[in-house]
Amino acid sequence: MSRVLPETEPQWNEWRARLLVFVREFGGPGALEAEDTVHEIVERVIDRSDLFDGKHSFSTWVYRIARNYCVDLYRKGRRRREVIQRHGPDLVSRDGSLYDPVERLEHAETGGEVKQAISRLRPADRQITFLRYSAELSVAEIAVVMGKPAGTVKYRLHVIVNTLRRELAGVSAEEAR
Amino acid sequence: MKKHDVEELIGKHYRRELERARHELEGLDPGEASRELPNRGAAPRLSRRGWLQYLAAAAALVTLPTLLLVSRAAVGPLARVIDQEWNNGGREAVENALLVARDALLIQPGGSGLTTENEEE
Repeated sequence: MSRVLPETEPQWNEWRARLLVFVREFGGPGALEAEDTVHEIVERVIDRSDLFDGKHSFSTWVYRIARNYCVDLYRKGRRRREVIQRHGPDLVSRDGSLYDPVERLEHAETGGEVKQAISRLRPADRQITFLRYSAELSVAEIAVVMGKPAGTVKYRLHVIVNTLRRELAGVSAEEAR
Repeated sequence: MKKHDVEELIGKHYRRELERARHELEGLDPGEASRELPNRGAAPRLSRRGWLQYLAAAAALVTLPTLLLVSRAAVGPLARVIDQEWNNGGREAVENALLVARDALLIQPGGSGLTTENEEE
């Protein structure tokens, strides 16, 4: 894993794409406007680039920043949902349903059996799945990003794979190849 | 299905998602896609959505009397929400109420997503 900051525009674009997938996997308010969220994360990464000391890989550092940002958004979203709960009657849509952007996202249509199976995982497990199988971080690096002990991450990965193995039992193994 | 097959499926799924994300970002306005190097001096080119977000954020910063005067005239129910939220938690609560209203205005299909006093009548 690289321990230096990206230097070229194509490298940053690749990071934007990776972060876009991560933000969507994280779910919550950040995923509603995922491209804006990615933009904010990249700005944050650049603003803090002088703090990057190479102690961890750049991937670990970036995903940690991205996760923290998404957690902040989620917390803000929770406060907004409290507003909705207090003022539901004043904030109803024309079709009569209570407006809740996060709920709308969670109920959004997903396609593909693997995608659906992953979307049914707990949010933290989805993030671990992404970090392991897309970002290809090690267990130790995922532990840094998630702020959890490495043993917990290892155990969750075991549970995740077993869960998905059950869920995807009907999917042809050939499809995996 | 073996563990390795599951891992292959997951990996394949994420490769597809990443490819999709690359294409999505390629489809963006080049100026939009390269916003990562902030040029704080330049005037931003905002979409209608961007302007609404900007206005909502700006509205959250104005003083309470102005806010209430404007919003009472514009959207009655929202003014009541802001009024009560101000009493509950000050500026942050008002900002949250405005963000909720902003999303309702922007995302709700078929209209503002807010009922107004006129509509109620």
